[in-house]
Amino acid sequence: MNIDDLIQISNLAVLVPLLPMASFVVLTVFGLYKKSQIASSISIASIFSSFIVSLLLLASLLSEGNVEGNWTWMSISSFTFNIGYTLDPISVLMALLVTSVSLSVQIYSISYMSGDPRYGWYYAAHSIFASSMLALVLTNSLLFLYISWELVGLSSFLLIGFWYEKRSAAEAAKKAFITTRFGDVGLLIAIIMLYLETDTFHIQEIVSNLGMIDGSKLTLIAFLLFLGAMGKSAQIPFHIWLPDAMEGPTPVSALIHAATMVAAGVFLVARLFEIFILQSSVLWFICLVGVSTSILAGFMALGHIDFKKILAYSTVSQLGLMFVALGASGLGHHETYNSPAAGLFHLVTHGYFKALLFLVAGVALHSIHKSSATIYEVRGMRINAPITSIAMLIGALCLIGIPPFSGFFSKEMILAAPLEIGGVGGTLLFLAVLFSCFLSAIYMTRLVLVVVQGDPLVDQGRVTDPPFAMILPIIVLTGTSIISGIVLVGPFNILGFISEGLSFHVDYVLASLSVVIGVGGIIIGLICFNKTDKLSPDVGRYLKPLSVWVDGGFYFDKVTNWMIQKGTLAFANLVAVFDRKIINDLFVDGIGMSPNFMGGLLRVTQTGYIAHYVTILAVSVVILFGIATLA
Amino acid sequence: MIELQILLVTAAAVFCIGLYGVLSRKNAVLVLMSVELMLNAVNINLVAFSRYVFSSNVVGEVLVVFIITVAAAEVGLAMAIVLRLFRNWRTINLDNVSKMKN
Repeated sequence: MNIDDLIQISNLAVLVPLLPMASFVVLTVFGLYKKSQIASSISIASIFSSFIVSLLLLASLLSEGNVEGNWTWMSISSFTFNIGYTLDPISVLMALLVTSVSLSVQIYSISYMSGDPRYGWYYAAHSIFASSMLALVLTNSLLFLYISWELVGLSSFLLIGFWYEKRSAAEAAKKAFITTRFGDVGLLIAIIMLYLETDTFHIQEIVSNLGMIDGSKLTLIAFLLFLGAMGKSAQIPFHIWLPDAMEGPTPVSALIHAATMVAAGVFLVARLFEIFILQSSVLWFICLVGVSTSILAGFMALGHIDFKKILAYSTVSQLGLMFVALGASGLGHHETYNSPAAGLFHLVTHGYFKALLFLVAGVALHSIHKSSATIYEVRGMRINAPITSIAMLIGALCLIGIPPFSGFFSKEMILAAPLEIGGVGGTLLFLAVLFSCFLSAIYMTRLVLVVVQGDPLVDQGRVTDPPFAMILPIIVLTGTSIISGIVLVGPFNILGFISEGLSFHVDYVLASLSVVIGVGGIIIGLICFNKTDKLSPDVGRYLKPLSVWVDGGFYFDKVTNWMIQKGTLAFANLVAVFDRKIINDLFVDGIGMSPNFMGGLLRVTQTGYIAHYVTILAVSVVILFGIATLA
Repeated sequence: MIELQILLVTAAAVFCIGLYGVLSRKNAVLVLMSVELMLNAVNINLVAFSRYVFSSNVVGEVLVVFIITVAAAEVGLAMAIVLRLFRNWRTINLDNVSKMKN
């Protein structure tokens, strides 16, 4: 490595995660997090610089193509660990998404979090969150990816449990951390297996050496990798942490749901897509998990009345669709179609409009001074918050997939993917995806109808348009949500950008079908939820059995709890008994008690009467003399 | 030599009586007296061996005189201890003055 190597624009990539990390270090180590204004300024400045650098990286990528930088991190005898970055379409795209959403959220938080006693710490945690996610997307080494992966988990723990005085928030943070940990184990095993097989952590080298790995082992590796992705991206049965993560401040939810935490799983599958291709069993598993997550979460979004939880379940549902897109793209017969482009495209568009929707939710909750509320508590948003209402409407239309909003384009790509597989399986998958889109149209219509329409509750205070610092990110994100679809398929061909030769082509049948489904969902939603705030009685009667299931979250929490109680705790009890009885009582206490016991035996001879001692003395002298004489 | 044996048996008997007294009496003064008995048994032995075995000199007899002198001093000391004991404990019962147990 010489100086010339260092002076090139692509090496700025190192700065992207390092700047927020520097902000975190400055804030925590120098105690600046106690000074609110300085803390937010430093944090926002660092993430803004990261955003600018990411734009430079995009320019560099477009002019110079894929670049990577590699340095030796440490060398222990024959093991050499490298650290470096890779600049390719996926990483730059993700870096732009993460920095732009983080920037919007941090600006938004200036007034959302103002007055909070731990305002500065909030920004410190945001900085490390952004930093670890950026390191995750930019690194070229699986080892470093895993480290960042865990750091993302840690920082989400910090932010979900930000109001840790509240018991539920602390519990939610713990739940998120532990639930994702189950998937992380799979990821770690997969990384170790890949290292053992290919002798490297370098992603490109691993991908080019895949031929060396034996087929069944590769299937196992792919499965374990997907397990990690399931945990982070909240796929069934690991989705249970995401709705609870609503305990954190609302801007944090926007960040987690749009760009950082849950995006990591989708990103992982996209980044290691070559491993998944040809593993048709794993790909089918991905599709299956994705589509069932998507539909179940759609029902749950339909059943809940908590504003943020509806959005949370809709995220789970959309993430499921991304996985379907990834899995189905891998299965497609079309040679050029084997690319993660569709899933990533939806990740990007979803990132923007979901961040928008959460920021809108934040406005509503901020106005009534609550950290969570049902949708009925914030009714009548249109009256005093017209800008926010319009933003919410646009976000909803994006999510439903009405042209020309961004969701339409990415959803069409997702719908096209199962059709590429063909056959009965592909058709069924296609229908299931269609149904999930239909569900999303219904629940978003319900959400918008209830929140925007109606009269505000008298005692709750009205939802009003927020101050400039909060409305600005909303407006920007609204703009991005509107144009990102058109721009990304039109002037900037995102699909061709990710995989060469791919471009967006409008399949008019598919497009009209998806529009019909979306509009149909909206109309049904209008019919069901217009007159009354709740389901009209007729419809309600038929949906009653369903609502019981939905209210219980399809019993995933209960089953998980039961498994933990019956399985884990029973085993833990067994171990505890062994520890208490064998280790503690027998060994530790036993050794401690044995001198005591021996002493107890000897103590009998110590009567305290001199006469006894003298008797023993005399008798023993006689005996000794007797022995001496006889011998 | 018969006289030596008679003397030794007598000394042994006196010693045993003294030992019995030490072990069985509770009264400190009686224990002290028993200890004197054991001491005198030893004196008898010394005189007997001096007279019958080493008859050429009187080392044994001289030693006995020393022992009697020392024993007199010792009894004085011991009686003083018993007196202090009585002052402090209002008893000279040895079983009651045990502080080694409990």
